[in-house]
Amino acid sequence: MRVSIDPESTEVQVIHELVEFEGRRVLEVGCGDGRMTWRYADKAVSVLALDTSDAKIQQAIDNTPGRLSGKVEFRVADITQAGLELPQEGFEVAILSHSL
Amino acid sequence: MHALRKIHRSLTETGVLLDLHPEPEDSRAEVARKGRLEIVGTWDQEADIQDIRLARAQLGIVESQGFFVTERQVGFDLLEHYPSVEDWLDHRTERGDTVVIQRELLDKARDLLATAGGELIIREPIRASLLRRLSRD
Repeated sequence: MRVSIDPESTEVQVIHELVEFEGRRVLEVGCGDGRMTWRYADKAVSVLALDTSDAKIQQAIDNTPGRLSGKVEFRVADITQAGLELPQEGFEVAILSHSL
Repeated sequence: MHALRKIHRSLTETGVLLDLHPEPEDSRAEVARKGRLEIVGTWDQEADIQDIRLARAQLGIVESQGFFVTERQVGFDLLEHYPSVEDWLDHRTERGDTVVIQRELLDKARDLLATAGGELIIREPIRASLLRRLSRD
């Protein structure tokens, strides 16, 4: 037996019930180790996932499934930091996960 | 507040914001064994509760200022399954959780797991809010 977070997939069902990810550009703030990112990234056209923790972002990068490596970018950043460059075209979806 | 305004600026005209926040007032530890759930207890989460209240207030302010409007809210329980109390504590440390769990709760969970097996479940209610970006032009 091992540690398992949301094996019932309740969270993934709820986020897909609330948000249409198909073909969307997504900004995720507070992505942590990418646990939730993997649950919608397949459908998105691109994902920029931010977290202030170096260690968490490194974990997320290390665990990125190969099929997603071209569409998901993990970045150590604070959304409030001055000079944070975000894509000009904007995002259709933003996710704030346990962050504020 | 600044984060929410920056997100507002980074969204397209018809963009949406999905906010996921725990409701720590109702979090609890349980032991599941042979199809039965036994409540172990809750722990002092006042620090987390203060943070969440602040976050809720910030969302309320940006809504009242016309940046976003809430379209839907859904509540659900996020369950974390651990084979042992030590695994739970290790995971909390990895996550950077700083709240100290009372020894009585930990001992009760250890006793229940030791006598009848099963697994420790941490039940965390989450509120998911879908907010639609509003144009402020």
